Parts: sequence; C-alpha cells; structure tokens
Amino acid sequence: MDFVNQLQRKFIDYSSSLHREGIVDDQFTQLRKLEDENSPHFVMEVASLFFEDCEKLINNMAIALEQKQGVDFKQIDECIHQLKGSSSSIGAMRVKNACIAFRSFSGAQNREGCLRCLQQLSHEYSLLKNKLQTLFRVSVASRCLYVCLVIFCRENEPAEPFPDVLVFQLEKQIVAAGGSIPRVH
Amino acid sequence: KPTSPCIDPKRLDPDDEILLQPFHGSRLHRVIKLLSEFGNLSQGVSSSSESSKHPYGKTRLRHTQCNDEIQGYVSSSNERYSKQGSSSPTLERTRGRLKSKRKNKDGAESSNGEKPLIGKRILIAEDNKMLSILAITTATQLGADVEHCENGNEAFELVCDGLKAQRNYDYILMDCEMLPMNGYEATRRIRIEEERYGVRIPIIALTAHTSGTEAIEAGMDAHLNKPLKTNELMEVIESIETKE
Repeated sequence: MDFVNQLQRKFIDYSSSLHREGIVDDQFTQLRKLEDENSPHFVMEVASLFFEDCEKLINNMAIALEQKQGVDFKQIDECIHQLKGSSSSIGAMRVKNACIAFRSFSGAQNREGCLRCLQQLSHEYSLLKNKLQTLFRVSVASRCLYVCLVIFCRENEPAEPFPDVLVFQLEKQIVAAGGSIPRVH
Repeated sequence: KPTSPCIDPKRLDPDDEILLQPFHGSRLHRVIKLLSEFGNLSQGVSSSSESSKHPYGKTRLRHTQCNDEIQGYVSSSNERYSKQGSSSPTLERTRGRLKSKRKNKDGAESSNGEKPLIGKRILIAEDNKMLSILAITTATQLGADVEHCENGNEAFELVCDGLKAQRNYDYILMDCEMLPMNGYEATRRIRIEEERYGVRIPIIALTAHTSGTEAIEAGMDAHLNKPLKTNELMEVIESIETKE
C-alpha cells in the first residue's frame, strides 16, 4: 500500500502546485466539499461543463472579432461577463483575471487590444484544461490502483510482497492514463 | 358505456368512489383533491353517514373545482417523466428549469446540523449556468428543496404563483445582473406584490463584488458575493432568522 500512498502524495503535490501557480484558487477547494457519496465525481463533471462553456464563449468572441463590417463589442462584453462568472464558480483564477483585463479593452472598443486579450485568454484556458485533466487522470488512476490492490489483498492475503508482474502491469496502466510512478528503492 | 357490463356493484367496497368516465382533465383534478396533501380534511371520518350510501358521496366529486396547485403538480409530473434528457449528470430539467439530481432523503439525516436547510424551499434566480450549478448544489447539500430560474421576470412570476397558492419560498437567492429583468427590479416588484398578502420572503442578493447598498435599497435582506459559499450562505440565513 506504500505504493498507493506515494501516488496519492504525488496527487496532493500536483494539486498544491496548481494553487501555488495561481491556476486555481480557494474556490476550487470549495468545490471538493460539494462532492459526496451521491456525487463522487462532482468536480470533474463541473470542470467538463466549464470546458464546454469556455470553448464556446472563446469561439463566439473570435468570430465576433473577425467581423469585417464592424465588431459587436456589446456581444463580446456579454461573453466576457459570462466567462468571468463561470471561471469564478470553478476557481479558475488566471482565466478570471484574463477576463477582467479583457473587459477594459472591450469597453474601450479597442479591436487590437481585444485580439491580444483573447489570445491570452485562450492560452490561460489551455493551461488550465491540461493541468486539470492531468490532475483528474492521476486521481482516477490512484483510485483504480487502490481498488485493485484492495481486491487483490482480499482475494489472496499475500504474506509475501506483490508479484512483480502485477506491479509492472499496474505501472503501465498508470503511465498510460497520464500519471507518473514514484520510484521506490 | 363500455365499462358498465363489467362492474358488479355488490362486489365494490361501499367506501369507494366510482368514475365511469375517462380519467383525465377536470375529473383527474377532482380526484386528486380527495387526497389529504391537497386539502382533503375528511379522511378518517367515520363511514356511517345518514345522507348517502358512500361516505364521501358522489356529490363530492362533482362539486370540487379545479385548483391551480393541482394543475401545477400534474403538469410538473408530466415533465418529470418526459424523455427530455440533460447533458449534465448532476442536474436535470423540470419545466425548463434546472434542478439538482441529488435527492434529499425523506426525514432528516442523523442530525439537523448536517442538513440545516432540510424542509426549506429555496428559489435561485441566476442566468449563468456554472454559477447556477454551484448554487443549486450548495443549497441542496444543505438539505433544501431547490428551484431555479434564469431571469428576474421568471422569478417574479414564480413568487406570484406562490403567493396566490399560499405556498411561499423560504428564501430567494437573487442574482443582481440578469437580463432582461435584473435582480433589483425583480425584488422591487416582488415587495410590492407581497404587500397585498402581508408576506415578506427573505431575499438574498448575489453580486459580483459590488457593495450591497443598491441591493438593500431595492428591498433585499442581505447580500453575498458570487460564487456562493456554503458557510457564507448559512451565516446570512442564520442572521436573517435571528432578526425575525
């Protein structure tokens, strides 16, 4: 089980780094508290909805900024408002801050400024998405591993250490899911 | 009538109501009215009645009138069974509005401390989907029965329906920035309408980092910043309750 503990510690470290880097703020931690036995995957579900929402809004803004006959800054402003609300709900701090900066350029009806902000926003969004997806994969992998180990122990009650073959297979699966394996000496 | 040859009156319980007509519409409403949940107070009355063979009498069915509340119950049941699915695993739509899929188990959980809002009805007016999910889940986890709408107009209508049916929300969480009618305007209208009934429902403003002055001026009772947090919601509710 030391193996699982190490993997779980890896998860905690990764999660802390997201906070340190400002990718997520305290609100993300609050979301965890809304998970219970009826909704054990609440955070992942909400994050998926956020990704959909965000991509749609970014897309709409890109299209609006491309309009040759005139940019509808009111529509862009509305999109930013929505995105700011959504990102604050999930604790996506850097995305939210990018929205705040964007607001001033759309308010000033500055197309060039808006294009730069949109690029920055897309960048922050991609970063968030990658990091959260990795976090979720490691979380799922460690849960699967834990379950496998529990089942194995229950079935076999091994007095000896785990068969190497089983460990090797589990390691492969975790790496395939995007996690990493702590080296145990 | 197609059913008449099949019915042998001797084999029927004299306490039963008998309707030999299609069971829908106004007849359905009248029968629902016989249930105690919908105001029938005479269940349990002794069956010995001088006036008629049947304790409730056929006149009962004929004289009850349609009730808006029953209408609402019937149509919302229809919606619940409809095939309209939702992409969200945590939420479903009832009458076009979001509701949490989490069911609060009947009867309070071990202690009221875990579900302090059990038995309370809360209306959440919020147009942003993510913020709605968050607010609905937060309130549901605290034990409340939550309803949701997306703008000030709908909120005002729902509150009016409740006032007429004398079945009011215990609290309203009102987003201040909605279109076409924002939270301040909706609150002002609600307060005017409430005066006719001598009722005042606690309304909590949800704003995006603004001061609460405009909220208080519009007639709201308290103000919270978005996104909604469990502990802040409970603090505000407790302070509202202690004031009353």
